[in-house]
Amino acid sequence: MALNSHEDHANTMETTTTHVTLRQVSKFFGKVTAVLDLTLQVEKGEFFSLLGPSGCGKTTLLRLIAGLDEPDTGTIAIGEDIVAGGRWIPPEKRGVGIVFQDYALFPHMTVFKNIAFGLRGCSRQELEQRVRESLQMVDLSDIAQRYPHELSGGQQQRVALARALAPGPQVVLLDEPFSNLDADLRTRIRAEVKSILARAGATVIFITHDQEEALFMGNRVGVMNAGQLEQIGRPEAIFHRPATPFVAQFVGTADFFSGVVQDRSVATEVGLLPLRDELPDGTMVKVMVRPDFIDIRPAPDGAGVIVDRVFHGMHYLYRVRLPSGATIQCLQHHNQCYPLNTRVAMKINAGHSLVYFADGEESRAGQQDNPH
Amino acid sequence: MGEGRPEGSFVMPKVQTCTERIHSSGRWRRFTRGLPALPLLIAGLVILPVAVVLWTLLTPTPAVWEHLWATLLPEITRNTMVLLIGVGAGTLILGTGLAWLTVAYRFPGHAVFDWLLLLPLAVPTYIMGFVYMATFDCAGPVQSALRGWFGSAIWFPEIRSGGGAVLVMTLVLYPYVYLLARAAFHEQSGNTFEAARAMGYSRLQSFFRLAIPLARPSIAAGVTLALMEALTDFATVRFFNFPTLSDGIIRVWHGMMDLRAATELAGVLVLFALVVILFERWVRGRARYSQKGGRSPGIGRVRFSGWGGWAAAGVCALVLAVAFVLPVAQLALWTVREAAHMPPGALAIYWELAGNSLILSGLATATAIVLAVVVANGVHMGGGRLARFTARLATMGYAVPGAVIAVGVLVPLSAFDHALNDLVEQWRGVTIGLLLTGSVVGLIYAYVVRFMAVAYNSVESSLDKITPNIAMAARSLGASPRRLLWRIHLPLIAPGLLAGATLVFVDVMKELPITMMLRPFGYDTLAIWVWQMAAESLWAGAALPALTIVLVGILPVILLMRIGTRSESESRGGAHGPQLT
Repeated sequence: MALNSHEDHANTMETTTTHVTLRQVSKFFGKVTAVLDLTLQVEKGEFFSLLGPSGCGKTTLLRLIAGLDEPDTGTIAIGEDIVAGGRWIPPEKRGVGIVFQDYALFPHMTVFKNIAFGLRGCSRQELEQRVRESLQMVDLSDIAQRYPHELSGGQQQRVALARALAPGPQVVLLDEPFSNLDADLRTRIRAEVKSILARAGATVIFITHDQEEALFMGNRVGVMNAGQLEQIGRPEAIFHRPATPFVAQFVGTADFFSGVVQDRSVATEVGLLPLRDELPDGTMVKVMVRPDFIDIRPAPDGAGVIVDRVFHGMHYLYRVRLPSGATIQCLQHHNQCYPLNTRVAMKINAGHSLVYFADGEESRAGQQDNPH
Repeated sequence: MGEGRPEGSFVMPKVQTCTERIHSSGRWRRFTRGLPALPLLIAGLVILPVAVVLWTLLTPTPAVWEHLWATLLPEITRNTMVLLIGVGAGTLILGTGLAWLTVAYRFPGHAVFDWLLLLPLAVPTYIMGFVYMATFDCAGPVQSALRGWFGSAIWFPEIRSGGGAVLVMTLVLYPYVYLLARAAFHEQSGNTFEAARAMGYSRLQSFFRLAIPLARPSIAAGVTLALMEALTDFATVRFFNFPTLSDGIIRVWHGMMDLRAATELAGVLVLFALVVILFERWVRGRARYSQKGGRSPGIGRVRFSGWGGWAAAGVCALVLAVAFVLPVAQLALWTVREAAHMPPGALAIYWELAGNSLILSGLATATAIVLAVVVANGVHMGGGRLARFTARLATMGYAVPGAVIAVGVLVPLSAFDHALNDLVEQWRGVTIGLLLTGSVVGLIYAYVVRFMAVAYNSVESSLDKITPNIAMAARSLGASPRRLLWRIHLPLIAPGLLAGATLVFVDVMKELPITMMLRPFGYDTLAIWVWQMAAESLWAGAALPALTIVLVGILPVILLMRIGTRSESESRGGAHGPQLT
């Protein structure tokens, strides 16, 4: 377990209503565990980002919520209704909209018909009206009669979004919706999508392996690894107070080095570091540092040696080898240019509270974080 | 998580009295899990005939072998080898050369020749065979005319020979190689080609060093298809007096009703087919050359100017003339001439035979398509390795010559009939005669075995277009499984089914060896009529049914053409319309 606390979650979510609830859900494919004993609550109207490396089970989780797969154990509820686990509501009755990574537009239907597909039981006039509104919402009114293959990637993306939103779903699931777009387009479209979804007022669960995207899109972010949620929290909390070494490394760049607790500080290769929590002397801990936590300055008796330097325009990214052989990265302003093999002294930047993990704890460490 | 949260905030209805229809996905999955049994059964039925033939090969009857060895076996084996080598080399050179010409060069009419050169595919080998016999034989118009001009001493190559058979088959079978090589050349990235040019290779050198090796798997596949056709043919080689194994099987069966000897010969023929397939595998190697070059442009065309351009156009025109225009014109001429003094009732016979062809082809097509859908669906629904293996078994018939399948169907069917007869005779003391042997059932069975692959490939490729996410998207938009089937799946696979059905229909209609051996007594088809008339040298009498078969045979060529043009526009990164197959 992480040693640092997460007080920012202590008093949240008392008044909001839970919209999507997973209780101890597990899903196995043969011998492979896709999702293990996972519990999650997403609030009404919330943007929830689910972040994890490929193969961590996040897509399976989304398919379970949509009803495209059935959990082996546990229950899933949407609003007040159990939809899986004890009772089974098929996907077509769940009122869940999905935007797939490959968009999954129906290739034999025009844009208009694609969007109209989910609108059943309304009059011709009403149908046209609603499709028109959907198209307006994604700013594609002029291409209603085109076929999917005649559209650009960005247009297909927006049609997929319009199609998912047209029936007015309570919950919208997005499965890596931007990964097929090129970098330029991606930044623009994701801002667009975010504002469209915000206007639609739906609860959104957004899946991605891109940390930047997850932090941008989500009010809250859940970091998933090996079928379990390692941490749930606000984007800032995930970044600044990662609950596990895995989260620390997956979200942002992080290096670790070891230390021993001594009289309310940690003795490390870099020097004594202040410790917030009460820990018995002699406890072995691992300290996480991000590249911007550390300042270096040339010093003949410094503990570190510069082994690599990469020019990043505004900054230099140095890699410094410590006496133990471990290396850490530090970001310095571009006017601080030191040659390789320079001996440097290191100072932990003020303004960052350090993150510690019990030594020996590797990337996997149970579910850490409880927002409630 | 959740340990610190009061349990009551989570509303969990304990009693599920909801009237919501509970979709028991567990039951559904159990049902679909049971389905692979059906594809397996289909695969079993498909491989049964081949298994029977192979089994007799493993349990040879020495007396039969001695007799075969002493009489016809050495000759027909040698002829089969000569035919394979000749047709293989001929289609390889003609098909690859024409493909390169139409892909890489610009010359007068190149865009039209590009697809016109596929047309010879519409002419079955036996129709081409008898037309060439009639035209170029000693008594034919060409030699007569030459003798008229230059006197009777004029030398003319003997058409009634192995060379004649190879020539005729090459002329109608090269489109297999042409089609696949052309598609492969179109797919090739122009950038790779230009890289070779930049490294100092001439265009022609790049062709031999780069384009051909890259297209090797496709060319090998095309040659294999042509060789399979050559192996299955018995009629053309009979016309040209160049008996091969297929001819031997039919002779032994028809002449002596010797099923045992026919089976042994079929075993040898299967070995030949096996060698061809192994050869293809070997040529193909482990390489999977697919250059999905993204948006890279294809190999650019170079203009053939002046005489070069006309020469290229001339070569294409010549091939087209001898391989398509000549036979069709000759058939049309005969038909018109015959129409003038047609015996009464001849037309009625024609319609009756056409009707028989229609019924047989229709039944076989429907069966093959339905079975193909069952097998392909098993694979598509994520059936895994077993389902894919099943599909491979179920589609191996394309590589088995018709005569082998016919024998392989005859053996178990007659065994079944005899067993049934014995049983009924013991029980009731009456003879019911042969029930399945020589019935339409056996015939359809054999057709399906042979052409299942054609149906399957069409169905599979159209199912492949439906990504699982499409079905998921439809479900999440509120579509029930029924609506999913009717609004999404069927519209998406319908063009593929139709194309597959057309291909199978025409293949069955043209089919000769299986029809010859398995048709119910006196049940004739257009193909049979062509064969019988032509075997009696009644060329003109065979013209009308032959012309009918050729014209119907143009249908699948048009389908192939459309597929070809589509892959071309795709490879150029252009927009392509709703896909056909």
